[in-house]
Formats: sequence, C-alpha cells, structure tokens
Amino acid sequence: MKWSYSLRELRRRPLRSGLTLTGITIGVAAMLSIAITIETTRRAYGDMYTTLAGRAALEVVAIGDGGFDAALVDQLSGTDGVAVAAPVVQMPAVMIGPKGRLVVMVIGIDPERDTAVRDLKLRAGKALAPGGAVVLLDAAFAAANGIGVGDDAPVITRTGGVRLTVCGLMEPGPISAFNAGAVVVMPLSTAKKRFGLGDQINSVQLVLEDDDRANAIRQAVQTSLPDGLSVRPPAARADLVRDTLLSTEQALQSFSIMSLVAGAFIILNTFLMNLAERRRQLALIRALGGTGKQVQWWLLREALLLGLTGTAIGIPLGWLMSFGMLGSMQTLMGVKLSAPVPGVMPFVAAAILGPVMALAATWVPARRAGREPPLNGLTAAAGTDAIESVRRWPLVVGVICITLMAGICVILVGEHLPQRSNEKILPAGMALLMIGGILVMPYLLMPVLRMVVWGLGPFMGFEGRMAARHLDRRRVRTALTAGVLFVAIVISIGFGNQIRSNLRDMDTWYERTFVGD
Amino acid sequence: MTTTGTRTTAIALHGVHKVFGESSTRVEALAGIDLDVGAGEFVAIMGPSGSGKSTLLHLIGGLDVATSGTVAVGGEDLASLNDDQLTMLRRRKIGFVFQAYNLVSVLTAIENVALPLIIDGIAESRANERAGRALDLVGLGSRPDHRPGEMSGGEQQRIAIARSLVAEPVLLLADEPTGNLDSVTGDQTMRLLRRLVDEEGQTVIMVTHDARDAAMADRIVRLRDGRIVEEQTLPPVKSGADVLASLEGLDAPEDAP
Repeated sequence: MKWSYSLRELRRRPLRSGLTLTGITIGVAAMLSIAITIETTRRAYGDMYTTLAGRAALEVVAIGDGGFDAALVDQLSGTDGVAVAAPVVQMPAVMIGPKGRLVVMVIGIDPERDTAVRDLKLRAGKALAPGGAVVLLDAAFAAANGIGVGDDAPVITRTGGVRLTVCGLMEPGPISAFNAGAVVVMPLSTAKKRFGLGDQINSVQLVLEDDDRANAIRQAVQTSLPDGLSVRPPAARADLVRDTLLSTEQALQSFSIMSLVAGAFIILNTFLMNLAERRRQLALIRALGGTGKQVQWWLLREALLLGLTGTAIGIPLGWLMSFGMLGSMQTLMGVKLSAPVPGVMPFVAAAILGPVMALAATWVPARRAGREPPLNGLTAAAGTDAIESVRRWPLVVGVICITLMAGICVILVGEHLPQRSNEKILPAGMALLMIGGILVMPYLLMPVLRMVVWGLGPFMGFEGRMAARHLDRRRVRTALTAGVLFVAIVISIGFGNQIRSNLRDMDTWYERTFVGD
Repeated sequence: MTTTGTRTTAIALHGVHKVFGESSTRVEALAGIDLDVGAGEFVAIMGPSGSGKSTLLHLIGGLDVATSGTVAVGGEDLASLNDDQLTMLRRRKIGFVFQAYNLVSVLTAIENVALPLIIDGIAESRANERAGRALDLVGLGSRPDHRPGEMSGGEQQRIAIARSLVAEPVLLLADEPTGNLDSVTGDQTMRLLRRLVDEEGQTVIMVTHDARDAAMADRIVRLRDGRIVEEQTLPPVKSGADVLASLEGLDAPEDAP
C-alpha cells in the first residue's frame, strides 16, 4: 500500500492527527530539552572548576563541598611532589553595582601563592595586596555594570554588608571565566575576615612538580588527609555539585518520563478512536484480500509518519526549550551557564524516541485490528453499541508495574542503594507508576463512575445518565482519557514537591558553602 | 472443478450447516444447504430476514466458515484453507459488491478500483492500467480522479463493481447491490451485472430483496429458516418487463423494508 494513502488518512482528521502529533512533539521536546539542560549544567560546572583551578592538577575539598581548617595548607605544601598548595575560599554573594544588585561568586585567594596557580593579567589598576580591603573584577563584567577602578564595591553576605574598593580590572583569564565573569576576587585573608569565616577555607589547589605523577601524589595526599576531605582533579569537583543538583535532575528526568508516558497514552487514545471509526474500512481491506499483517503495517505506518513528523518538530522545539530551562537553572543555582552545547546522543535519542513512542503506543491496537475477522467490521453497525470488553492482561501488567514501583519506593526510602543509583531508578519508577496506574484504570474507573452516578442520581437527569452509560460502553477509551488526566495531576503534584525539595537542597548547599557562617 | 450439464461448476455447497452461539443462544442460520452454481451463471438468493441469505454469501466468500458441510469455490474446499489461504482466495478469486459500496473515502475512483491489485503487490502503473479498464467497463472511465464523496450513489456502486472485477475473479458476490439506490440507478446497476454475465462470462451470486433485481438473474434460490425452499430457473432475459411478466406469482419480498 502506498505511503500517500496513509498520509491522506491522517489528513482526513486534522484535529485528531494534530492532537496525536502534539503528544509526540511534547514528549520528544521535553526529553531533549531536559537532556540538554542536564548535560549543559554538568558540563558548565566541570568547566567552571577546571577554569578556576588554573595550573593546579589536584585540589583538596571537603566531601559535601563544605569548609575545613586552613592549617592543612602548610601540611600539603610539604608533601612530596607538591610544588605549591594554594588555599581558596569561594562563596556566593550579592554585589551592589551602579545598575543594581548582581549575583556574584566571591573568590578569596592568597595573592603570593596564587601566582603559581594562575596568571591574573590586569587591564587596569593594581594587583591584590595581602590583607587589603580591595577586589579585582573581570574587566568586561565591570564595564557592563558601570564599575571602574577605585569605585566602591559593596558586597552583601549573610553576615551583612562589606564595603570594598575595586583595585583592578582583570583581562579575560582563568578566574574571570568562572561564573561567566560574575566574580569578585579578593585576598584570602580579607575574605576570611570580612566574611567571618574564621580559619576556614573551601579548597586547596595543588600545583605539582610533575603532573605525570599526579596519581601517585593523589594517593599520597589522600592518605594524609583527615576524614571528610578528599583530593581529586579539579573537574571532578563538579561531581560534588551534582549531588546538589540531584533532586533537580530527578525532577526534570521524571517530568521527561511522564511527558513521554502522557504522550504515548494520548497517541493510544486518539488511535483507538481512529480504529473504531475505521473498523469497516479495515474490514474491507481484509475482505478484498488484505492480510492481517498488511492491515497492521498500514496502521503502524500512519503512526510512524506521525512519529517522524512529531520528532521533526519536537527536536528544534526541545532545543529552543533548553534555553529557557537553562535560564531557570541559572537562576536556581545562582551561576552563569553558557549556551547549550549538547553532544550528539540527546539528539540521536530524541530522533529514535519519537517514532518508537508512536509505534509502541499503536502496536497493540494495530495488532488487534489486523487480527479481527473481516466479517465483524463489515456487518452493519457490528459491535458499535456493544459494551467494550476489557481484557485481563492490562490488569495483570498494571498490578505488576505498581508492585515494582512499590518495591522501588521501599528501596528509595530505606536508602538501600547509593544516591547515584536512586537517581537512575526514580524516573523508571515514575514511568512504571504511570503505566500501571493507567492500565488498572478501566477496573477502578467503572465502579467509581457508577458510584458517582448513584451519588448524583437526582441531579444527573436523563442526559447525565446517557453520558455515563456512553462512558461505560467505551471503557478503554474512557480509562485512557482519565489516565491522561491522572498523569497531568501526578506531574503537577510531583513537580510541586520536587521544587520544594530543590529549594531545601539549595538551602543545604548554601549552608555548606558559607563555611563558618 | 466439476461440470454440470453445459456449465463448469464454479461453486459447490453440500450439506452446509452454520450455527451461531451455544445452548440457549444457539441459532442455526443454515440447516443443510446443497447448491451448485455454474461458471458464468447469475444466481439470485432471496428470502425473508433471518433466512440465512447473508450467512450463505459470507460462507461462499470465505468471510466465515461453515460449522459442517463443504463449501468449494473453483474446486477448492474452503474448510481446508487457513486464514492466509482464505485471504488469498478472496484476493484472487472473489469480488465483493456491498449494499453500502464500502469505498475508501480518501482514495480516488481509480485508486479504489486498483486497491485489490495494490494489496496484491502489483506495481502501481500496472494496477492503474487495469483499474482504468475496469472503470471503462462500468462506464466511469472519464472520472478516474473523483473521490467517492464527489459521486452519486449509482456511480459509487459502479466503482465498487469495477473494484470487484479488477482482479478478474472467478466469482462476484453482491449483497443487496441496489439496496441504497433509487430505481433508475438500481436498474442501471442490474443491467451492468447482467451485461458482465452475458458478455464477460462472469459468475455472479446476488442476495436481494427486490423481485425486479432477482428477475435479471438466471436462477432464483429462495431460502427460509436456513433451508432452500425453492429454486426457479428463469428464461433468458429479454427485458425487465418481459421477465417480470414471466415471474407472475413470484412472492413479493417478505422482508422488504
């Protein structure tokens, strides 16, 4: 059969085809944009810490990104193979500029030791002097915000306001690239004093005598560190932030999965409507000598066309959506993220996902249509008024899915797996819950519907009772419609809770980062 | 395939029973049907509602299977065929004409006619060529690109007839082919079927309520309660009026709407 026949069938019901297409497009776009957002965020953190590290091959940080005693710096300086150990303090803060409030990252460095770690080239003004109430700003950042050398740079932290003076402007370089230029660099002692940090620091960056010996030195340093501290390559510090991002990523991934499931059920629902309407036509194809497989393939091909079209729209839409999501992520995390630079995999996955999702959603009804004896569809009005039978297997599969989800909940609540594993199984569990919930829906919905009809009896009227019976007659379709609503409600509640959880995580992150606060 | 008299037997039914349902819902739709139809013969099946006419047509067309007895089309016993083989039989040996035309609304006239050939995997150009000839045969060769919605009921039924003929089937089964048509277009359709039998040697079995339509056949088989109660061979058709005159005494259809 020609592809153009399938295309014409789709065009015959533009609204229905459009609805199906929307389901696929949203699923693909959500999945792609979320994948890009997560990948870009992770990469941005990796890049930021690598940039900040300059020539340092290793750094010592507290597990959980908290603070630790600065006395450790001298101990690390004496370690065999370590050329320089440079302490760093890093804190988010707000700076008041001529154009308003600016979210910045304060970096406290030891001006003498730090020259071994990175070169701070000045475009204007003077270098940092130890102990001075002065700061360096990125030249481009300062220009954009109307700040010059000698200007006041009031910085607000949780302990209150600190009035500092801009002593110099940096050329683009290692530190200024951190947080996309929104950085305030000050002497370490000033940072500790003005921010009330006591003798606490965030990290010690290690420049090695020979980078080729990094592994051996890392092992040696690790054995000398007290509990709670670790030594690792600077980029690996992004993994620490990843823990902070965990619930956000989980929320996004769960949202992505739920979008896909909702999209698949929208496709299934509209496809069932389509099949009911075309029952006679499909029976005719069988009567004219079409095999069951031909009918099945014809229907799957329509789904494939929609899947490919939805993917073609969903991919650019997802790419655009990722800009908005990265903006939200930037606001949430208080860091500057670069434009999305995703790898090929999210696009490949999205390109496969759309058609696969459409085919998976239509596989069962298409197979059923192919197996239906032609006489059933050909005899006038056959089955159109009969009550739709509900098969047993969806109940069995649904119960299995929900049971698996319950098992996953037990594992998650009991913290039986590492956090990273939890991150992976939660979205899968959400998908199981969605699928299971919708599959058991026909068995729950009808008793509930009857109870509602019974409860509202006097107010239903004739039309109301007719409507209820009509819903009862089309049980599968009614259940699918209710199922899509169910997914929407779960997304709303789940996402709301995740946002609350994220805010708690952010508080925790700030608590850890503001050492000595 | 056997030969009876001067005709080769196209269809042979022997002791055919068809039962629907079980115990309290059991209905015997056909209760021992014996019927032979010769190649190139035009047989009309009449009877009241529930007499088993349509069931008989479905069994002959391989759309349903007999509970017992044999149904042979072109010498092939349908009971011995699996679903795929029955599908192939319908594809290559049987053409269907339905009361409701059953055209595919999104396809043009020529595409509807070519559909059985496309289903059979025949190249589109070749299928269209044969479909064009079938459309010419039913007098619609000038309207190949019109869709069903742009045509009258009579024209749609002629397209359906062209579709049933395009694969050059052994047998054409027509289920109330004039049921949705007015008398003028109904007569045109019946004359077309008659012409196919006379000029092309097509075998036609038609279920009808209409005595005028039945009068165009070579033979009328009357069913009641799943049994053949009367068979009447008609003289060669001269004109509709002559036939009606010769059928004096033929009952009006008992289940006419």
